[in-house]
Amino acid sequence: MSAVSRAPKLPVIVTSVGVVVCVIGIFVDPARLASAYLVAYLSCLAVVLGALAMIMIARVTAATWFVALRRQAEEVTATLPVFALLFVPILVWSHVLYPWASRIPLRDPHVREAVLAKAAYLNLPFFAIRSVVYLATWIVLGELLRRASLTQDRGDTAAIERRMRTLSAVGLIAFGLTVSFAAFDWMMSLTPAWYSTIYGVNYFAGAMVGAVSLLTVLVARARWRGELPVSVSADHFHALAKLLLTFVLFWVYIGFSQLIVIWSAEIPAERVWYVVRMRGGWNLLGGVLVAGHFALPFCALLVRSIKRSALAMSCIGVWLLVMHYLDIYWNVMPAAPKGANWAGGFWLDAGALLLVGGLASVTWALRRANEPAIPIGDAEIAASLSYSTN
Amino acid sequence: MRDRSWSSGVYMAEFSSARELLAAVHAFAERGYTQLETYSPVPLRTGIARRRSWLPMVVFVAGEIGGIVSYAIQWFANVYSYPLDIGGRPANAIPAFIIPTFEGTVLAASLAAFVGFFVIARLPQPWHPVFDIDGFERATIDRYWLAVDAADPHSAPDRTIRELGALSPVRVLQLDAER
Repeated sequence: MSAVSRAPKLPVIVTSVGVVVCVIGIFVDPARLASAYLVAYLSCLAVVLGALAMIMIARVTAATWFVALRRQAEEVTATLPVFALLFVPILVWSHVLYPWASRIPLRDPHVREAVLAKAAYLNLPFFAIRSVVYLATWIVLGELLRRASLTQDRGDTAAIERRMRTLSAVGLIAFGLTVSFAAFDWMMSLTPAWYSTIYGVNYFAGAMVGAVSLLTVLVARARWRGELPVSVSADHFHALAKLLLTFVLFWVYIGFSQLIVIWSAEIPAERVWYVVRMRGGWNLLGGVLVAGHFALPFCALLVRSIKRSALAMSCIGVWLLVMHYLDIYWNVMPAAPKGANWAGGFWLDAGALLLVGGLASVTWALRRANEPAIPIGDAEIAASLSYSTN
Repeated sequence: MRDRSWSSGVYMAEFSSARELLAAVHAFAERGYTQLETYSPVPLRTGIARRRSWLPMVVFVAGEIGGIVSYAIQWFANVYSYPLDIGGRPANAIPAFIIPTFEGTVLAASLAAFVGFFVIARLPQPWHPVFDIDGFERATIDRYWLAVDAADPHSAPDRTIRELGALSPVRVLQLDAER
């Protein structure tokens, strides 16, 4: 039986619709499709990377509460290999997306000068090599952690536990560097004359908000479907919610740190990025992000009864996932290639998101089949299931 | 659990084990008593729902006020009282104002938490009626005490003492209203 026939219907349909829309898009407006695809790719990938970071942080800190939820996160990171495949279009389209890779000479002399000065770093062969290194690092980390956890299901945990703690400690360092540089390469270099050293942390902060949000939704879903034991309860949602509140604050803190430094200095080379994003519709979207990615969830997550409710938390989770997508949109889209019809391309945004998200969901569904929903062999699983926040 | 300061006096029972104290708490809670206080050398979980502290609400409101006042001071100085053109930025320089606003929020909230805790916990308290009981200091070593406020709607002088006595305590005693 082929893998596709075993896959659940909905994600396959979603992916097919995405593929059809994107194929039409290639002929209608390829430049606009490339930007839409980059937004979809970076926003979905961030969520998966955040889940990878969660697993490693929990392993390093020996977090008991997370053990019962760890399998849900591991199933998310199981989609990483497909993101390597999904990166191919970005590599193919890099000359359309990235001004420094453009085949047409750049018109703005300042940008041309900056691109020339950075040519030793921003060139296609090196870009491709770096991208492969990033993706390989994440896939290796994700697969090793996942396989170890599945081995633990059959017992023999103390030695594996120790090995995974070491791997996670080393892995977090590699993760921090690769995610930061991936954000520089794939997102910041869309405006090649501009730079912000905090940009990688910015991407990581959004990734963690997305990851904890998705995890909350997946845990609630697994519990409603009876896949998780009933002892995964309000206390676990409470813990997730507190973490989510932390990362919502972290996201706005990092975003504001970047803004205040650039806004105070007002050096032309630094302010260009904000000048574009603080005009017209982009300024409005920025306001939506401050309200929807920070103010609203911040206030909601202060309330204890919301934090302990699976239903309320999954609503906030879905909401923040939408906001996370808009955050990446606000970062990428104002730097879209000139000439692309932005306002006429929302159907391409939807199509690209369906394609990337759909394919990730199919992979997720296929790879999680026949796995226990909790790490049953982990020494801490009993303590984790009876975890209480009080 | 104690709301009032024993203005009508208090009934107290001394127990020699945590188990007996917990049984006593449950017995009294079942009878409908609400003004109970326990003294124990180790932390105990009575399992009886406690009224949640209103300290978080105090901290939240104080933080809001601190933030609004901090912003208002800056707005008054830079927009209303003495506007200065600093590098062509608007007088109402929101990004620059956010940092002191944040600091003011944290300052007011943490001060409210600090002061509010002392007020709610009625600290500092150099003297407390229980200090008049001989041997009460063993509540920090190996004895467990239950105090029932005489002002509790369920309290009645003879009956409450009888109910405490029925739980086989080491001793039962009554402290009169504060002088």
